[in-house]
Amino acid sequence: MILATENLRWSYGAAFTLDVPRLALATGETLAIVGPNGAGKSTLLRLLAGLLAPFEGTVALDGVPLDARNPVPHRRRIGFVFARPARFRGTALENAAAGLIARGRPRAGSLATAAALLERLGISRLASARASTLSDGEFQRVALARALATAPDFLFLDEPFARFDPPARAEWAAEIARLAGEGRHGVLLVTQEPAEASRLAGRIAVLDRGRIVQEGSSEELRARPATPVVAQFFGPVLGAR
Amino acid sequence: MTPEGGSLGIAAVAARSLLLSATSTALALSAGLPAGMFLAQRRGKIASVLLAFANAGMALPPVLVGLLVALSLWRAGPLGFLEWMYTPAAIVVAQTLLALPVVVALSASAIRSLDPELTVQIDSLGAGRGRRMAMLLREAMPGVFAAALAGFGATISEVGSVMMVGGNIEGETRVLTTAILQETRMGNFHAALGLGAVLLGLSLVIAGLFTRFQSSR
Repeated sequence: MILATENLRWSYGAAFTLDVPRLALATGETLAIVGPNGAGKSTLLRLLAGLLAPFEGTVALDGVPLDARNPVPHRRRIGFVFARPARFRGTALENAAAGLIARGRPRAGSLATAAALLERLGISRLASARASTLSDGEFQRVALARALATAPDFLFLDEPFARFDPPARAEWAAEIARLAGEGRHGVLLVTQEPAEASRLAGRIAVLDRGRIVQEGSSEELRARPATPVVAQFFGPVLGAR
Repeated sequence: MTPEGGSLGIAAVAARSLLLSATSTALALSAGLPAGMFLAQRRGKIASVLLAFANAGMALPPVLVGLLVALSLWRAGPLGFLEWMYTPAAIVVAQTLLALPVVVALSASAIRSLDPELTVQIDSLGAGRGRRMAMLLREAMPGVFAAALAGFGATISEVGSVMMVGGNIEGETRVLTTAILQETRMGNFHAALGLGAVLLGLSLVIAGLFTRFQSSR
């Protein structure tokens, strides 16, 4: 399955325009979007997930364009882990099952699927804890379980490491690498950390002021940075990050 | 003391009050929650005007509501064919109209106070319209409970419109508030105080149950 954009353009008044002529992601592939604050990374992710409208151009799954009047079928192909995932009322288990319940699946089966995922992610001990009592790190894992529970074709991760300390970041990165390695999902990772992008993604797109200024492997970006921003992220600074 | 003034009679009047108020509140919630939800999620001028109407409706004079319902249900009125005047159904109509703006305004306010990011994240789960609404209501539960409780309060404490459209007919449309009014008019202050205590007790019990349920969520 391929998620692709063509001439995607979205404006926030006169202040900001996101302009992405072409971007594609296939299942089994990991693409990282890297860029400075305000570059439009999260906006791009939300556009691709069918969460922002209206926009110009197309976003399509296997050639089927996203219908802005009925984006639900498109959204259901994507599991989204937000930088600050919403903590719904109830337990961690109920939060992990929220995506399935939101799609009208029977509650008992949804909870069983969610429980299996919490087990797989090593957090089954948290199942009966109220979501509001969990630490950011713990809840981020619950949010990952919530995204995976619906067996999405694509997994969107919006700055998933942003709120973690270095050991937790390494642990998370390993988890994401393992998931990406399974090849079941197309993984789209938004991050400001070039080292993590290089480690996890086969392909990296650098976004600056709403435009993809360069796309390629981390080696290509390092060897031939097209703009000062790319050099800033993937130049000599990389080793120090 | 009226024939309904005995302990069994008071129980019957209290039960009628409770039943009519619960029915009115349920009707106001079933229409008001979707309306409040709809208005909370719209930002246009029309939605703002409707929301302003709902807010103003919270201060709607009950006697005016009673008058309008009476004019509608009167034999020559547009809904006269229903023959609801001086029946419990007329009381339910008047009480529902009083509770409706309360439920709409307070539930809209509860939904509007939610973080807009929450709606985006619920959308990202692939929720359809109905599930999205149910999830938002669940997240706004304390405010929704407050709307339900305020709606119930508006109905069970109502007297003017209930008197106008119900007529305080013994054994049929007499409720606690109209019974209190009648006993007071007749100079039976002890009976009126007793009925008042029952009304207060009922209100406290219902509020307590709501609060308990609210804090258990």
